[in-house]
Amino acid sequence: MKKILLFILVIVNSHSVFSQKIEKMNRVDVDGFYTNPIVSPNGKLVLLTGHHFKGVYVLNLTSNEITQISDKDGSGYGYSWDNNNEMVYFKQKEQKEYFLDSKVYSYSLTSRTTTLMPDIDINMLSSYHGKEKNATTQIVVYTNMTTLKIEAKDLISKRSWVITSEEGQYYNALLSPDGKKVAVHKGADIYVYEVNGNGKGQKIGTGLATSWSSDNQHIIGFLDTSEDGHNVTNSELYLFDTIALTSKKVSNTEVLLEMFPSFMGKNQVLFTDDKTGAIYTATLKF
Amino acid sequence: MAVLFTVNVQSQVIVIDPGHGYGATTSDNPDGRTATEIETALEVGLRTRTLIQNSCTWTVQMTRTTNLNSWISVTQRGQMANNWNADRLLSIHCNAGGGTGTETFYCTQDDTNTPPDVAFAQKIQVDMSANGSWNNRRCVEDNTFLAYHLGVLRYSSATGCLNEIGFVDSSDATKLTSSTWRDTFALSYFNSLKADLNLTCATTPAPGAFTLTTTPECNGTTSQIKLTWTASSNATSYDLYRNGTVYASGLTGTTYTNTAVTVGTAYTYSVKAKNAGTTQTTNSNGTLSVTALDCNPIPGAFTLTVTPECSGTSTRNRLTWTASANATSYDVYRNGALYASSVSGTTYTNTVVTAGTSYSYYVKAKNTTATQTTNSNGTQTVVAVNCSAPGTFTISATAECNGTTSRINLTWTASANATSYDIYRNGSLYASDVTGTQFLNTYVNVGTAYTYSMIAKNNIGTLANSNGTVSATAIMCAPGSFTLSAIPTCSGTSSAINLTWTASTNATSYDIYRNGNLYASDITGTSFLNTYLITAGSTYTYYVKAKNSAGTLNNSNGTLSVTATNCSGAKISENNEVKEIISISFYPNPTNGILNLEINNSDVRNIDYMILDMNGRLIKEATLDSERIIDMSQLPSASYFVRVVVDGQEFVKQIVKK
Repeated sequence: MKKILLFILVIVNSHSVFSQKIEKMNRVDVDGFYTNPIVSPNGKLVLLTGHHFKGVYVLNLTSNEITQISDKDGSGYGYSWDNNNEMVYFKQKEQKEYFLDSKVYSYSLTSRTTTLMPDIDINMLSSYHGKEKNATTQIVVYTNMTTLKIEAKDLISKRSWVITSEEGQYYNALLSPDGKKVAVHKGADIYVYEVNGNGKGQKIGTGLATSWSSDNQHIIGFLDTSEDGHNVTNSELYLFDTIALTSKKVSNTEVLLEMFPSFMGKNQVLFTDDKTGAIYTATLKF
Repeated sequence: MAVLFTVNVQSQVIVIDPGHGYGATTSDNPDGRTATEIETALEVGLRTRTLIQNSCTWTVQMTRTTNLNSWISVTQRGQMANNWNADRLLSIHCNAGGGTGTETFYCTQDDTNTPPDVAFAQKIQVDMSANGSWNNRRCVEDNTFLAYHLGVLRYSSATGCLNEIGFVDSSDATKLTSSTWRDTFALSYFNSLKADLNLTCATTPAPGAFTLTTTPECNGTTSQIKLTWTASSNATSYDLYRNGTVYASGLTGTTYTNTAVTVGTAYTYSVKAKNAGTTQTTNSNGTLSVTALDCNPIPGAFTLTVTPECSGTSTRNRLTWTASANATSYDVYRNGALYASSVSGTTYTNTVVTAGTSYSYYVKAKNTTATQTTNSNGTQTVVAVNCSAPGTFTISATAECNGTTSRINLTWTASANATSYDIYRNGSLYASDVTGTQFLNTYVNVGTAYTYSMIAKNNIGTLANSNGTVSATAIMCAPGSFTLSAIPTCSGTSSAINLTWTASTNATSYDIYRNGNLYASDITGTSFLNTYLITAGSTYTYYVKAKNSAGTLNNSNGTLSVTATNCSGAKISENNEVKEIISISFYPNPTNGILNLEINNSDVRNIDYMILDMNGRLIKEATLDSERIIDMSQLPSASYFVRVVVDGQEFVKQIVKK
C-alpha cells in the first residue's frame, strides 16, 4: 500500500518535483525489493537481485512475471545476459565457501535448467555474453585480484594484457557493446580506456557506471550521496558522454534514490529506487 | 573453452574500509567528518592490513590507502568489496556527539542468513572493548538503533560490520590519536578476523636479501620512475615505500613504475619483501633517492642561417640552424606559411625556388607537445641566385681623349648571367670584379699600344670574350687651357713687356703673337721678356698659342693690351741686389758673313740666337759657341733681325748682310 501511495505521489508531482532530463517515467508493476537490474539485449527481460546482491531473478517486462533462478549470497553481483537473450550467467557459492570459491552457472530461459560452467572465471563474468560462433576473438575484462588493475583477455587466443597501466586500485570494469572500450572505476571516479591497452584513461565523471548505450558512446550510471557518509540520503542518474568526456545529471528527485540504471533500447532506461526496491522505466531526453 | 585464470591470491579476502576520506585537500571534506576520525580510521586500517600481510596468506584490500583524494561514496565502497570478492568487510569509523566507548553495527536487511554478520560484529565488538579498554556500548543491527541502514554494509554481499572505535569529541580522542593504542586496535581487529575466519597463520621463513634499483625515465612526455628489484627468496609479495610511507602494497612482481611523480621532485624509495610470516625484509641497499625527469622541456634558443646557392645549374636556398635543446623536430616556414613540418635534422634545402625571387624563412623548434620556440634571430630573407653559366660576349677598345686626358675606352656586350668581369691588359689581370659593360682606362701613356681581353664571371663559372685580344694605342690630346699676363717693365733703361702664362696641359711649346703677328715661336717655357722695339708710351697687344701634335689652343683670357713704360729714369733700388746690366754689340755691321757678338759679361754661356727676315720669318736658329760668332755667309744679301736672349733679356739688332 505504501508503494502504491508513493507511486501516485511521484506521478502526480512529476512536473513540479522533477527538473530532469528523463520523461515518461513509469513504474513496473511488481512487488518486492529489487536492485541492480540488467536489461536483456532485446529489452524484454531484466536480471534483478535483492538486498546485499543476494539472489538472481528474471523479470519479464511483457508479463511482469518474476522468476528466481538463484537464492545464494552475492549471486546478484556481476551477472550477465548472453547475446541471444536466452541464457543468463551468474555466480554462486555455498554458505561455507569463500567468494573466490564461487562458481559460474548458466541458466537457460528455454529449458529452465541451471548448468555449471567450470571454465568461466567469476571475475570476468560481467563481460561474458556466451560463446560466440565463428568468432576469431572474444574479449572479456576483469579485475586482477592481486594487482587490482583492470585486464583484458581474448578467450580465443588466450592472450591477456593490462588495460589500466596507471597506478591505482580499480574495480567494476564495464565493457562496451562493441568490445573496444571499457569503463573502469578508481576511487570515486569513472575512466574510459581503449580495451587494447594503448593510451591512458580519460575521466568521464564521478559515480558508478552501469550500462553502455548501443552506439558505444554514452554510459548511464548514478552517484549516491550521503549527509554524513553513513547512509545514502540521495542518488541521481547521470549520463556520461565518452567522446565529449562530459557528464550530466538526468534525474533530480527527492523522493527516489535512483540507482543502477540500464539502457533499454536506444533512449530508454530502466532503474531501481533504492528506498523501495521499485523498478522504473523512463525515456532519456538527449 | 578453457579460460580459467591462474591468480596468486588466497581464497580468504578481507576488505578493510577506513570510511570517510578527504577530497583533494583537507578542507574538501564531503562527509564533514573530523580529522581525528578520517586519519585514525586509515591508520588503524593500514596497521591491520600490515598485521595480516606479515603473518597470513589471506588477501587483504583497502577501499582507500590515503587521506587525500580518497572520498568515495558508500555505494562505491560496497561495490569495491563485491568486485574484489570480499568475504569479510570491516568498516572502521570513529564516533562523535559526546560519549565514550566502542560500538559495532551490522546490516541484515531482508537477510535470511544473519548469523555470520552477527557473529562477526559481536567478535569485533567484544575484542575491541576488551583490548581497547573501552566501554562496551552496543553491538546491534544498524536500522534498529540508527533508524537507517549503513550504506557500505547494505550494498556489500560480504559478511561485514562497522565499528566505531571511540569518540573523537571526548576523552576517547587521546587513545584514538595514540600510535600505541592504534597498534592495539589493529591487533584487536586482526585477532578478531582470525577468530571469525577460524584460521591461524603459519610461520614461514623470512624473505631473503634483495636489492632495489630506481631509474627516472620518460614515457613519451610523461615522467615516471621505474623501480626494479631482485627477487627475494620466500617472498610472496612486496610493499613499496615512497618518502617513508607505504605507497603500493601487495606487489607480486619485481617491478613497479611510479607515474604519479612531479617533475624535478626528489623521492625516496625502499621495498619490503613479505611472506605469510611476521618477518619482513627491506632491500639491502637502503633507501634510494631519485628525482623525476622533466620529459616535456621547452625547446631551447637557436639561430637560423639561410644561404642561397647553386647545385649544378639549379638554384636553391639552404637553411641550417643550430640545434635547439629538447627539440624533437622542427617546422620550416617560408613567406610566413608553414612550408615543411617535423624536420628531424638541423638543415633543410629549399629547391623549389625561382632565381631572382626573394624568400623569407623562419624555423620553429618543437617537442612532442604544443610548446614551440622560434629561431632567435628572426625572419631571414634571401634572394635565390641565378645558377646559369655566363654567356658569350665581345669587347672593343678605342683610344680617345676626354678633354685633355688620353684614355682607352673599353666596352663590351653584356654576358648573360654574368655578375662581374675581370679585365686583362697586356696579358695581366688589370681590373677585377668590374660590373657594367664599360671600362675607361686612363692610366695610359700617349703613343703606347695596349692589348685587352676579358673574362665574364658568376658563381657558376667564367667565360672569356669571344673575339680574342683587342689592341689600342693611347693618343695625344689637345693642349689644355691657360691664361696670359702682360706687364710693362724695364730692362735696365730699356722699356720692355714681361709676358708670363700658366702651363697648358699637353703643350710642347708656345707661339707668341704681338700686334696680331707671330712674334716668337716654339717657346718652351712659360715667360718671355719682350724688349725689342718697345717704345715707351706705345701700346702693344699679345696672345699666346699653346701647341702640340694634336693641335693648338690660344690663351683663354684673350688678347691682352699693354703700354710700355719709360725706363730712362729707372734706377736700381739701393735695397736690391746690384745686377750687372748686360750690354751686347754686334760687329761688323754691315757684314760680309761673319758677325761677332761682344758681351760685357764673360760668364754668360750658351747663348741662343735667331735670325729673322724683315717679315719676322725665322731663317736660322742656333746656339753660339764659345767664340760667339754668327755665320751669315750663306744668307742672301739683305737686312735681317738677329735676336739674342741672354739671362732672360732679349736683344734684337738689325744686321745688313752685304
